[in-house]
Amino acid sequence: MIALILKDLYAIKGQMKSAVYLLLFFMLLAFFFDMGPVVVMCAVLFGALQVITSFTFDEMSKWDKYGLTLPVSRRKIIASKYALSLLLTMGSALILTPLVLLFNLYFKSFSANELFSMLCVISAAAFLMLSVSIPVLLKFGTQKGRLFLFAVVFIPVFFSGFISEYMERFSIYLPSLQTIKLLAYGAPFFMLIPLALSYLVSAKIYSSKEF
Amino acid sequence: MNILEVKNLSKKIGKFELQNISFEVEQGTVMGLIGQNGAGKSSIIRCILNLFKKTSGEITIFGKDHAHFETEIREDLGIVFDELHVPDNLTAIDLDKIYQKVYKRWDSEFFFSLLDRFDISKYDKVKVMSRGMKMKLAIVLALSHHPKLLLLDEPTSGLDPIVRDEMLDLLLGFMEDETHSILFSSHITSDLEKIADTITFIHKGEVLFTETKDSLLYDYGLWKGTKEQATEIPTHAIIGKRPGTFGIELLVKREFVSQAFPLERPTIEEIMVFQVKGG
Repeated sequence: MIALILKDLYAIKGQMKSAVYLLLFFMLLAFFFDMGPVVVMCAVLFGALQVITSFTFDEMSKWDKYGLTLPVSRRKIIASKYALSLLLTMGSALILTPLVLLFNLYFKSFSANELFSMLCVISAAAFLMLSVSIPVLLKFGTQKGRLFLFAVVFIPVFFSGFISEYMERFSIYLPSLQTIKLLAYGAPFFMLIPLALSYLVSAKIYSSKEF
Repeated sequence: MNILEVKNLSKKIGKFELQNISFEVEQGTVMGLIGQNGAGKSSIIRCILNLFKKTSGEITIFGKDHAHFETEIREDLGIVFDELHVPDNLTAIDLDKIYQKVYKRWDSEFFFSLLDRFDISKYDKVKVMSRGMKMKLAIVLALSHHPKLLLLDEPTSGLDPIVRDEMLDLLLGFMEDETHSILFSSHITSDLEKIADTITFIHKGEVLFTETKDSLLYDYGLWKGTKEQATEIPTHAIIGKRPGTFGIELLVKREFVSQAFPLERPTIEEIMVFQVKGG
């Protein structure tokens, strides 16, 4: 499985270079405009998007046809994609958080707790996005899958407007800030459940695929 | 001892169907799988590799079921398709690092020595390599974990004669070990004439015949003459005919034709064309 993760990391290393330049730019923004938490959020989402890029590279080179002739089971091939997801999302956060906290020693514009809760929410969102997108990309390929992903992102945004409107109309109020914070901290751990279910679905899809 | 056995393999792929395909590859031999484009050669190889799930039949590699023991079997298999299916951004050095973790017997020293021998750059990304270079890298990758059986699916199509010759040299080197075997699918029959011991001819998803290359080349004869002269050749000897402007060409079984008729030795390509078009 390490070999497959390595293959994906080598395949996306060109993208990673541009990501580093982009992040340097964001770091400058963070430093001069005091946008530290935004930088960390961008990094986590960028990491998650790289997993989707790795599917595109696989599809372009028809890697699966070849990868399945190696002494690696279909389940391990799928597991490697999920391991890559965790590695890239968590890795990006772990690399950038200390830097942003270092900047904050100078600016003192947000608390470490605030950054941590934001990080938890964005990681949870990234996990949820990957939980949906990986089986979709496996089932429909990256071309059709992308359309589906647009829907995955926009439908919740569209409904969030409705939900807030209805909540006001029916006098439903959000829980206290304390509870929301607690929920935020727990979010990435809750999202590991859909990620695990997503792995099972993906393994099932992949086991019956022909190349 | 049979290294690969395919028994009554059937598989439906859209409107196309592989029907009751059976053949064996003996240890220490090279089998050529020939046939037109779309005859089913690649589909057979994909079924052997379990990339296509067979509808029915049995496939064993090294005496083991190809699906139940697939990861174990693949340690001893080397595969080359008609393209190098690895992401374009990878270099040979990257591939070496990856394969060290894939195969138990990956031999980096051997891999780099083959790269040097065939003038393949270690540092170039796959995307900047020529087609010939990519295919040479594909075969070097397939050989560097010391497999026992090579499955080659049209590896020489679209390559220039020099690169094809280099690839065949590599394969002949591989076959110096008597425990090694190759299943080589190609429609470039001249390549198979150089290295194959037996030929299996696939046509429209069925096996037309499996014969040793020598018996194909010596048992069949090519006769050229006028249509009147052709009537003197017994009909049961005629495998195929090709009428031309000035006469007719017949592919015949030598044993049924009198020595009075001068026969030329056909090429495998001619045998294939007569079988398909001149029945």
